[in-house]
Amino acid sequence: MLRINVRYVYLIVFIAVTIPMIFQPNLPTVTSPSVEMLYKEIESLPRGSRVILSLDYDPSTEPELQPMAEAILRHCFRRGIRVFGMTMNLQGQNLGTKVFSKVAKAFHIPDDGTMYVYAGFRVGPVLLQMGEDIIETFQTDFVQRDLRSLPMMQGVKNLRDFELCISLSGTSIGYSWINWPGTRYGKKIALGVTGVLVTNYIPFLQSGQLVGLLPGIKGAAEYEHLIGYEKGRGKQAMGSQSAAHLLIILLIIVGNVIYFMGRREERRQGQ
Amino acid sequence: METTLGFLDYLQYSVAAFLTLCVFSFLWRDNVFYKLAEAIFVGTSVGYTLGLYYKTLAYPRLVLPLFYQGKIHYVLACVLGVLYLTRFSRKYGWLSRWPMALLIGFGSGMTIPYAIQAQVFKQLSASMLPLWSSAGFEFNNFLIVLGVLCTLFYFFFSIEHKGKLVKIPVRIGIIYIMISFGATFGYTVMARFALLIGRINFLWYTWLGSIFGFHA
Amino acid sequence: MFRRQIPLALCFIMGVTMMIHFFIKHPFVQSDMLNEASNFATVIGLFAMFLGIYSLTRVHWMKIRHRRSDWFFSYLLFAALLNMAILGNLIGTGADTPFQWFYDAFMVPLQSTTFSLLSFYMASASYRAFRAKNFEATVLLIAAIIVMFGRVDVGPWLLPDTSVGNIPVPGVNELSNWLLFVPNNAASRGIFLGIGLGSIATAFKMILGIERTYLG
Repeated sequence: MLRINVRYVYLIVFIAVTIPMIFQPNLPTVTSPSVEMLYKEIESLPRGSRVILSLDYDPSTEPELQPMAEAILRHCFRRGIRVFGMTMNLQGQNLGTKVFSKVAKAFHIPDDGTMYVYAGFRVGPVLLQMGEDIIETFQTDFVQRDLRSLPMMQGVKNLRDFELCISLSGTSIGYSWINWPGTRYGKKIALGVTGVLVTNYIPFLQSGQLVGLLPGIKGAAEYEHLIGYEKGRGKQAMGSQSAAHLLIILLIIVGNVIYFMGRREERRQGQ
Repeated sequence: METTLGFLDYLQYSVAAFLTLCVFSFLWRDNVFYKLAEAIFVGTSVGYTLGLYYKTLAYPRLVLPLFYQGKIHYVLACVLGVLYLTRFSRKYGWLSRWPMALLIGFGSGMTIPYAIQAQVFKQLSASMLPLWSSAGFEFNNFLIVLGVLCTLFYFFFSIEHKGKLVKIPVRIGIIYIMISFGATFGYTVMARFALLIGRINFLWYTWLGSIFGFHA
Repeated sequence: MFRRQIPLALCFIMGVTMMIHFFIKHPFVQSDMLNEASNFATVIGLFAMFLGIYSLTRVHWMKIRHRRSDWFFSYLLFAALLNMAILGNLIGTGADTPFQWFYDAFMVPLQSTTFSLLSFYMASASYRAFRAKNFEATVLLIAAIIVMFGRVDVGPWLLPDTSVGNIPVPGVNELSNWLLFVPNNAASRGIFLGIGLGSIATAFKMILGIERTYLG
């Protein structure tokens, strides 16, 4: 049984993921403390506050992190909070412009720099330079408009003019956000990370260096639930995610049972 | 609000779906479709960086300061950058050590104070939790303090892990580390399947859904 | 002297300068000096990018020239590379450009799907390789199962928080939260303290010239 052709396992995985995707079972979502913390943080910001949303991911982690970006943007726009978008990942630059334009269109927000600015990617130790002069660091937005001419950036000099920094990433760039804007400039930092990195950032949540942590696709689904957005990709994925996890648990248990039964048989034959 | 899709949108979805299936075909075995997808992937990734090179990377950091803001000292940065390219020369390759040494020094110097403050001091102070409060014995805090100490003990290799006084905390440390690795594995499963679910979502709702007119 | 001493001296000067800047709060040091040093490091890095592109180009050009296996795909690689590079630099990289179209059609599906293959390998490894052969492995697998079950919607739905009489019994969601915020937190913190101290020590060794592997 253990020497089963591995392609059968691949087929079972494919079926387990596809069927819930098609039928979309509606299971209740239970939210976790780290997601609720970020939600409450944004809820507590006064209208007109400025927030940095850094989309530090690329297409390889887009399915997990783009739903988070969409949910956070929806929350911010609903609360009248202005968002400065940027990215520290060159290959994710064109992903950011898509999510901003999609959500802005849904809220009928024009791309005139009043409610949001998407500055794209800048190379170098941007987090340090932003702490001193954000206009000098970026100079133009993604479509080459001078930042100084945009309404949202009037009177903005550096990180001190922003209430919260949120970074969504699948790499260790989160540590840089904690080290530089968080520790050096005392900014509130929240992270959204892929599942692989969640356990690494929990100590920073407990130490108070993070004001929120969205853990993977589940974090995106929980945030969508909190803001009442039931059509998000995070929520759509939860049925398939549940099936996948149950499948892996089953495979581990079955694999171990067969293994130990085989060992017992071998010992019996040896005796 | 539904947007009307044009021919280019359908073409884009179909090309993306074709390439997705080409990569999935590797699960069967290595084949010409997978090799096609692989070659296009590498070429597109590198070409993407080159496509953004001048406007996003070179212009704001080099061209603008040097040619439009009169910062002549950026010529020195250019010289150092060119020295980097001597790496391919057997005779002059040693010159590439100069810019590399500057970059290493820059990175190391930046790391030290922030690592000390954010990763060491703050984490240490967060570990100093009260074991007793007005509510009584704080069991979770006790477990955290015990776990941090025993984990650090496990990684202390300057003495042999012999004798009960050493072996017991090391064993406790191992158990904590195994729980952490197990939790990491659990989340890694979530992360990997989220990517697969994203692709299946694209194939089913974005590609087939746009052609046959259904959505989530 | 030029091959070893000068790079070591440059590394030392740059490293000490960047360390000291943390402690000097004068606006010139915090703003102007930091900006110029950062931009210098960035410009050097811009030139370094060509090293990778040259290596890739050379490998595939040799493959075409000597007609090695799958040489035809190297042509495709160059075609994809030139396509993105030309579109980006000549037409633009904005939202409704051909560059964005090719990015969405080629790069997004290829990169996402390549990483999503890992989910299949993970499933096959779960069945064939993950064995509770000893106590530590069993602890790891149990922690993984609790987190996997508790971190999706079906887990809390099947095993919610309940009570036996007046005794509250935590559900799988509460259990997985506890696992993450207590034992995992402790172990991760211990590991990070070790990593933090290690990275500080390595950075110091590089600045002081004790660690010289970067010189080649």
